[in-house]
Amino acid sequence: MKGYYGRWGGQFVPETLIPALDELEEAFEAFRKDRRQQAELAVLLADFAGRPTPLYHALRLSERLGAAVYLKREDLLHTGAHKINNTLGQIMLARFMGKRRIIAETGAGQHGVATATACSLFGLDCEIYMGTTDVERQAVNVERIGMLGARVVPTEKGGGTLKGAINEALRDWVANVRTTHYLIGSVVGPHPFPAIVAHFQSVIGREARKQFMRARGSLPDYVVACVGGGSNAIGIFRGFLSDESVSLIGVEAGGSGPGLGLNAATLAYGRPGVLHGALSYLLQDKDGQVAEVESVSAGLDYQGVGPEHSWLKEKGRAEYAVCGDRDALDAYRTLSRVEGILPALESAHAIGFVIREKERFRGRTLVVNLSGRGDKDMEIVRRADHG
Amino acid sequence: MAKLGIYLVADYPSGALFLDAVRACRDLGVDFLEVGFPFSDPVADGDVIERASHDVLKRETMDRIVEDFREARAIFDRPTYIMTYTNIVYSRGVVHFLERVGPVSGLILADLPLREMPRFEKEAKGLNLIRFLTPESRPADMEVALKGARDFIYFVSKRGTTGGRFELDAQTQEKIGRVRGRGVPVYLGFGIGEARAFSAATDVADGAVIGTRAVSELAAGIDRFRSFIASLR
Repeated sequence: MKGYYGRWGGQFVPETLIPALDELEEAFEAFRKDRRQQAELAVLLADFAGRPTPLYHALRLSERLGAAVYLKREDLLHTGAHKINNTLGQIMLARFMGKRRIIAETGAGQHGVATATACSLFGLDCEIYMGTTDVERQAVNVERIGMLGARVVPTEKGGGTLKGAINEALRDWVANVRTTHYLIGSVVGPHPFPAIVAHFQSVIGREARKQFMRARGSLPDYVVACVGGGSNAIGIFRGFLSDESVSLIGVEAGGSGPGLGLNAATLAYGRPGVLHGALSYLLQDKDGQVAEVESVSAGLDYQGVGPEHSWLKEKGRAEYAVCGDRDALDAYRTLSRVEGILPALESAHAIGFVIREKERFRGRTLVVNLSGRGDKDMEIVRRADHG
Repeated sequence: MAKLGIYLVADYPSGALFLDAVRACRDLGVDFLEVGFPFSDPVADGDVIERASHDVLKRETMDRIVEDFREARAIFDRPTYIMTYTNIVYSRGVVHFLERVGPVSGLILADLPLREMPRFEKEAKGLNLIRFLTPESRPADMEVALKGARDFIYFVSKRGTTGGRFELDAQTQEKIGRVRGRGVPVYLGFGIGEARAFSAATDVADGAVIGTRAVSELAAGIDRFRSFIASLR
């Protein structure tokens, strides 16, 4: 069915938004085929964002683990994370549609920064919804957004994290749908957003596959990425989906434990539900109320997950694992000390999982998506060290 | 005469006051009720209804909400709909949900657009899902809504969440006119908060629903609520 991945996805939004989603879908199809737009985007990705990003053979980490670990260095992109791949694409799409105003949600602030950056580059008005808890724990990114000329709209609702920010952005969009493009930051939301974001992020997997083949003359055994909404994971998975020999592993935030409310591991502990426009796995109570979530990483702190991930899980094409706060914090320190790379706490979940499961990966080849840089998280890690 | 619908959040501001309000609606000739089942993330609602929903979720269990809904049905002998969000119905299956709540005139799901309705109707035979149209609706949407509608079409008067001011632009009025008189009554909702707005709404439609204002009047007490309902027409 259109707009679905198997039985996952759809368009569960107020009727008011349906014509806008149709318009977006049509515009996206035209945009993809428009050579001039594509050429301009390619130049921006190369010269402004810094693509292609290196695929780095992390020798000292590899030695420790007894495996060949390659890091896809999305942390080296302008603004410090993979988010810019999507915001540059969508900002051009918004201009293509004649929208003058951009809204977005952000958790860790990385998507907020990447959106504000793209808006500044294209001279568009920009408002970023952000939960008050996240405003506090990602203060550096809030300042960056302001410096770039966008406005952060803090919201206490919905737990003060990403979920509440998406709620507010959706409300804004319903009210201003004529003039505004909602620049969603992950492979979530109603169709066609998951498809659009996956399209713009799939450059990660295309590059990584080519680079790995060049380096090793074969395909990797494993591709590993962290999953909150799931955009960096879909981005790198897309490059390997039809390579059956490559195992794809998504790593969710295990927080402080497996109980409802203690983690953000939607695919591990959730069940099918409808939130923010899509039918997907969802952390919810027995009556369908959306649960509280918890993770040391603001970017993974989300109750839902992109519908394509639910489909990959159901088909058995991808495996989903969990990495808790403690292992992620340890991985942050390890990668800093061993490789001289401060990873975002989000990406540290993927690294932490690989370190924890090192027996499984011994003698194998892995590509881990290092989706973002970790400067923004230093204060959180420092506090955890002293707490 | 134009139909008057009142929206109440189940068990808000308390179970007893909610049921008092249902009695008042019966006594004052309200034509139909919409009972809001609270959801944690009500993206189609404004602040008043969101706060009321969260207040109920903090206090009450779903069992209690269902029990009071059944009680409301026993009190109010005219059409009574449940208004909520898709996940509340989907989470344990639409058939299970309908069995649990007992007789209901229909479901109004704020985040279930026309194109996502067929799967639920296939699953639960006889389910009456209320169709929305909006200021953004296109002619083809109107035909789809008219074809499936039974009791009425819920025409959302504005772009935005529940509450706020009532305003109909000329284009929206024209759209309402195109679906009216096609065999299904058209009721307006969103932003209709007092007698003047009700009268303006029912000049162009067959009825109107009052939600946010009814919820906040009831929070101020049952007497306030009664005189508010009595003032509407």
